Parts: sequence; structure tokens; C-alpha cells
Amino acid sequence: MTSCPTIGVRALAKSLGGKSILRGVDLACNAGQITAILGPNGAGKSTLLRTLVGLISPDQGQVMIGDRNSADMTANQRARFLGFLPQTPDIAWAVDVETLVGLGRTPHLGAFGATADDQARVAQALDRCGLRDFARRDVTTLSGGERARVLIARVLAGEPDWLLVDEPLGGLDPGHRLDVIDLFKDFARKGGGVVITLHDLDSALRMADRIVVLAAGQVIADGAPMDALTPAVLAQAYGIKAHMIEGPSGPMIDIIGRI
Amino acid sequence: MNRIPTRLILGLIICVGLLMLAGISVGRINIPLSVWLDPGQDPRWLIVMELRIPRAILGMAVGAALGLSGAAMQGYTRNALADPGVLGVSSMAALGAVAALYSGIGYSWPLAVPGFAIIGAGLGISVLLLLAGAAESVITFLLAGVILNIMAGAAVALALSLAPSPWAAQEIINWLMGALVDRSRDDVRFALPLIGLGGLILLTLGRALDALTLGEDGARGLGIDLVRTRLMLVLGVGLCTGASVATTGVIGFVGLVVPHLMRPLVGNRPGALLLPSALAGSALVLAADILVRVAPTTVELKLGVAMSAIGGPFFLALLLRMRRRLA
Repeated sequence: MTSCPTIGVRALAKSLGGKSILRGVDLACNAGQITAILGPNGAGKSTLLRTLVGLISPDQGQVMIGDRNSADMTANQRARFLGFLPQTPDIAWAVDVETLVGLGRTPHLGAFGATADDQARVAQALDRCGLRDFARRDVTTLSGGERARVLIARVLAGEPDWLLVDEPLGGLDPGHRLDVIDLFKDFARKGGGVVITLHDLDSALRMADRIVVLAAGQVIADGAPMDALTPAVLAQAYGIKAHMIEGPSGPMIDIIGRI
Repeated sequence: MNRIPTRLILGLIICVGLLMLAGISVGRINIPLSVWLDPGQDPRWLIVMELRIPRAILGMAVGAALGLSGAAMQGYTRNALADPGVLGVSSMAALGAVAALYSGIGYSWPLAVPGFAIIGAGLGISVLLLLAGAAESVITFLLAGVILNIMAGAAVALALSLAPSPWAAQEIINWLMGALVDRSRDDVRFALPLIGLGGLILLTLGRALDALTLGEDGARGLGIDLVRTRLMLVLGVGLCTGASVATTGVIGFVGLVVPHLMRPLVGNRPGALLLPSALAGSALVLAADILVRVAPTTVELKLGVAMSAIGGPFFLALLLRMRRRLA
């Protein structure tokens, strides 16, 4: 990971099925930190993330990777920069963990398939996620928490500059949530960039260096967690009465009720 | 990661070679070693050159085409029950052949039947692309194949019910049952290049099929162009099954059975299944063709019928196993 470029969108607009999902979104994300995108259901979080990855073409505006327009890059070039973890990653076949993690090397493979170097990087990713003992296990026999780590190892094996992650904490118990959060923090600490969509406000406070709140397809708050999640923003975005309090392990959101 | 099952591939190549030799030697008239040692002097050499060798080559090629198409289809749709027939291309190829027989052109011009079958496959591909449109969803693609299958099946049934003579109806039924019997060098010259091209196209899809293990979003996130992948798949399967159906009629279940036989040996990675499935498809069709020849029946069994007799119960067992797993 050398000289990790910034990524972002300029004046992004996107409609799906005749409905305007994103309206004039401007966002530039910096490497070395975790940017959490929050917002209510239907706010456009996943659409924004999928547009950043290149899975959706913008109707208006641009997606920038460094100083390059994403539209001018091939899908393979984008995949080398951006490691994408979809919201509900299905695993179609009962392959072993090492094979699945090896798929992360796909954008780097030459004409003759995986090299010793590719295999070494897969081994590193397995080690990084504490999966060395699982290498030969069938992924369909793993628990939800173990599978989440395998999928993150798959993205890490591609050695992308950026991790773009859609709702990674759903269905995980508190212990596995902490494990996953630690993996993202470690990635950002080593100079990579992380953009993550989340529903859970407390998890966002725990991991994010920066929070972007979307509502009705527009950015309504953008800044450090303490600055972004104000009572007024929470009321506008979620229709709730809530405020930030200082808990024993750091700040947390105290939700009083619906407005 | 991308381990190539070299030993298995070598074993399958040897197996296919031996089955081809057996297929050339065994039948209602057996070919002893003496004929091989003194070719040209024995009248049975004519049987070897004109009938048995083309039959063995076609069996090898058609088996490979169907096995490879099945493995590619299952990998793309991520459905272990998918088969080249799901695309509807083989049904459309059969419809083309039936149209040639029904109209009578097939009797006055021998190349019309395979020619129409290829045209049918081409039409099938075009209609499939039209029905699926620009959508990248596998579900849309599968449904388009199902619709195509239903339409082709209905048209064949219509041709059968309106056949101008019982003889024409019998010819159509014979074609639909599928066989390698009485195929000539012309059939080999016709089918081999098309199957070879289709097979090469399908063999390039391994990486995309592997990535599809992670779903469509996962594969696209890895830089896989799904529109191109689908186009290549349709072309490859269309050429392989179109040329196969054109020369041998409909031989079902090879594409379904073979990938399942290979999974315990090479694992579930779709890309790793392609080449072994092609070779195992050859072996299966060659073995089945030998069996229908040596079976003690007054009239030679149709290969397509024999494969259905094996494939039907296999399909049922597979469904039951999947249901148990889901329960």
C-alpha cells in the first residue's frame, strides 16, 4: 500500500427505478481513517458505496479515485484499488477457506493463474484475520462470525488501497463485532482507507474517525463523530430525540424516543 | 488456491483414449487385433475407418461439449441443477432439426438437418439475449432460458402433432432420442471445429466463474465484466450444444451428471471443474455408447434414451439430497 489516493464523488446524482436516490452528493474520503456513512433506510448509503465501487454508474457527477475519473478506469484497475465487501455476500459453493480468500487475488492474476507470490499474500491475509487454522475448513460450516472474518480476509488478500464495506456488522454478536472493528481499525492504522456504511450509531462512534450522515439522498452532516451526530442531525435523519452521552467506554448515543 | 488436478486430468485423458479404442473395436462386429496389424487387407477395416472412428471421435467431442457446457452453466448460474438445456439452446437446435425434417428439406438435402439445427441454436442465442436484455441478473438470464425451452418444446410438439406423414413423425422422434449410430466423416468435419471453438471459449471463463462464487456483486467488485462473461458463455454453450445436437440429436443429462461426478475429486471451485468435466463427459458418452452397442437387444438402444435412463434417477437423487440438506 503505497501513496494511497483519496477517493470521492463530485456532484453525484443517481436515480433508480424513477426515484431520486442521491442528489448532488460531494464527498472526498482520506486514507488512514475510517469514514462511516450513516443514515436511515433508503437514505442512499448503499447506492453511494456501490457507485464508489463502480457497480453503479452515476447519472450526473463523477467518481474520483485519486486524480482519475473512475469511469476512465477498467473494472480490473478499480478492483486493484478498491476492495469491496457487499452487504449480504452469498457463498455459492462449499469451497475451503483458503480457496475463498484466494479469490481476493483475482484482479492481480496473470494469464497462468496464481503464483507463489499470490499464495504468500493469501497466507498473510489468513494470518492477519487469525484464520490459519481454518484454511482447509469448508466455509459453509463456519459460524457467522468466522465467516465474516473469512470475507474480510478475502478482501485483504487483494491488498487494495481502500476497503468499501456495506453493513458488515449485521448478525454478529458483540465479541465478533469487536473483532471485525479491530480489523478495520488496523487496516486504517497501516495507511489504508475505509468507507463503511452502518446502521448502528454506537458502533460508528466506536470505530469511525469521520461520520457522514445521509438523509433523502443528500449529505446533512459531515465531520468528526462528536460534531456530526448532534441532536438536530439525529432528529432530521432518523426522526428521533437523542443525544450523545459519555459512557464508561467512550461516547454513546442515548435515544429518548421518536419525535 | 488454483491447484490444477494434473493427475486426474492425465487419468481422464488415458481413460478417454482407452474408451475410444474400445469403442472402435467393440460392437456387433468386433475388430480383432489382426485387423489393426494389417490394415487395408481386411474388409472390416472399412468399418473402422468409415463408421467406428467417426463415431468414436464424435462421441468424444459431443461428450466433452456437453460436460463442459454443464460445468460452465452450473458455475455461472451457481445452481447445481443447471444443464445446457436450461439455456434453451439445445431445445432450439433440436427444433431447427425437426423443422428440416418436418418440411421435407432434410430428405432432399442431407446437410439441411445439421444446418437447420445450427440455425436453431443461433436463433436460440439471439432470442435469449433479447429476452434477457442488458440486465446482468442471473435470475433474468435463467428465466429467459426457461421461456425459450418452453417455446421450443411447444413448437416441437406442434410439429409432431401436425407431421405430414407417420414416417416424418417417426424421423422426428428418432432425432429427438439422440444417437451416435451411422455418423460419417462429414459429421466429424462439421462438428469438430465448432465444438473446438465453443470449448476454447468456455475454458477461458474459469476465473469469472470462480469469482461468481461470491455472487454477482462480489464478482463485479473483483473486476469481472459480467456482461462479457454472459456473452462468452452463450457463445460457447451455443456452439458446443448446437453442433452436438446438430450431429447426434438430443443427448441429455451429460451436462448435469458429469460436474457432480467430478466435484468429489476436484472440489467445488467452478473454474477447476471445467477441463475435468469436458474429459469426463467424453468418457461417459463413449462408455454409454459402447454399452448400448453391446446390450443384448434386437435393435440397438438409442444413446439419448440410455443417458436419460441413467440421468433421470440421478437427477431425482440429487433433488432429494438437496432437499435433505435444506431441511
